[in-house]
Amino acid sequence: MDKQQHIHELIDQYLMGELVGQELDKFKIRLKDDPAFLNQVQIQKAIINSVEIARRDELKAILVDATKPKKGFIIPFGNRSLAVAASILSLLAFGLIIKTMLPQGGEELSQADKTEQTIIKEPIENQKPVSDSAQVVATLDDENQDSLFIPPSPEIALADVVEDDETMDDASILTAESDDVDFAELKKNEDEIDGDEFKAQRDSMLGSKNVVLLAVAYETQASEATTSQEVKTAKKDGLFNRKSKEKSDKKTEVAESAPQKTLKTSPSIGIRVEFWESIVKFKGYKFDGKKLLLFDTPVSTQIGLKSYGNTTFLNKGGTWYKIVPNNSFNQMVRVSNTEILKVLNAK
Amino acid sequence: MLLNKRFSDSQLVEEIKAGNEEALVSMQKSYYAMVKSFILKNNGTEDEIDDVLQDSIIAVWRNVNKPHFSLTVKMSTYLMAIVKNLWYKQLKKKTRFTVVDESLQEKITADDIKTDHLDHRIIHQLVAELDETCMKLLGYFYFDGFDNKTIAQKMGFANTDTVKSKKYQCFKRLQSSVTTKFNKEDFFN
Repeated sequence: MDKQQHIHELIDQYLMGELVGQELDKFKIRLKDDPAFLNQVQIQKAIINSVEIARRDELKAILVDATKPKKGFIIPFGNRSLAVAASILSLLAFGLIIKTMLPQGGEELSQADKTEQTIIKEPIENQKPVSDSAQVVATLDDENQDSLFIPPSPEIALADVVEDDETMDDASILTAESDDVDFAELKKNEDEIDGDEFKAQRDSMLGSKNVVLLAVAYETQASEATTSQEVKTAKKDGLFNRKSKEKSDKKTEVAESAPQKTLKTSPSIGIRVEFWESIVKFKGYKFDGKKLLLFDTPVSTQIGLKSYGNTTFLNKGGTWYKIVPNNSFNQMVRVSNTEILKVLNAK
Repeated sequence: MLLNKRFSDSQLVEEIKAGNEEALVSMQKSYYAMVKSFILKNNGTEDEIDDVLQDSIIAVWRNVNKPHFSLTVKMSTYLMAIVKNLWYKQLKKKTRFTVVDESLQEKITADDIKTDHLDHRIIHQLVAELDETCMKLLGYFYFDGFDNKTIAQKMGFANTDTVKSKKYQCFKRLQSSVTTKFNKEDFFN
């Protein structure tokens, strides 16, 4: 361990109240006598404060995220077979609803449509109403298949398979084979489900960081008005003000009469930037004014945020994009206006 | 899976000491109803529950990681004591119309070291720009109070010496950015 590292750790111990006895006395004497040392301790203290704030915000964000409703859904079945059976029953119910919503009888179909139906045999003369779902499954036969004239989809195909067999029970539903549905494939997918719960795939967060939003604005300064009194005030101000005031102080000597416009950049608020991987390969962002979600952006990408006027801009890997705080999924819109780019790229 | 898990009090302490952040989420779920009831009975609103509960859980997280911590009461009792303290402080602030940034008064005890003359926003910005490894490492050390062994395990470092030297490198880099940003005379009152 070199001397500087030792001093660093000594300061750590002092700031955390862990320094005692003679070491503490020595430390305090050095603080009084050595301004450069005091300076180092002050910086270290300020940095630790900032680190603590950043970490606290990170932990808080974990808790806040946990209170938000989940994007995906979890099927509340501990048993896989029950989950699959419930899915098939749901599909059955869906098929039934579609069936009851569609016009009854095949006579309403055009002749052309009828010829396209491979399972149509003949129109039903006397369609009987059904009372419950069990009856529906039992009474569906080849004759009324024509009323199920709906676009082909995997769900409907599944419903059809079940309806083909009047005496099919839950167990046979799960083991039945059909040309329309590949139950072997279905079973294979089911086997891939691990654990007691089935979880839908969802977007995942790859990392996050806090970025300070820098507000950029033009500031008008009347150079001749910069009196010595104002310069004194400027010296009391923080770092940002000092630099701009020093510039204006120099300009006073030139004694220009027209007001000067200077570009001023100052930190405004901290924005939490999260990097997400989208399961649908979405490439864009979501921004609510405080939190920015970036999709398909590597965590290592250099990120900068600036606001100019009422608009927020994102610098992603050296390119500026306009971002809108509408809390919706948006595509990245690249900034092409040269005037704005000039302002954003100004240091 | 862990998200749905309920921990016993001793498990919670173990998980927090190991730096498992899921323990925080578990606590939030377990104690929400209790804290809600307290806040609403004590002049609070629904909007204030989450904030107080989350701040209290984070305080528990930090306290558990202090060297000589031992839980002598039920976790719910301990958490509620913190909730009550925080809430009464908040009520006091409300009535006085003053805003105090608690975050700046947490771990550091050396009150004689004044940093008011430094622009903290610049330092926050530089900290935010740190790479993820440094950010995590410094956070674990200074905020969470994890010992070097726990940090080495969590971050996959070979040993505690690696943690020490990496932490120093991160800090040194940050310190040099801070000093170059500031004009040197800023540091003297």
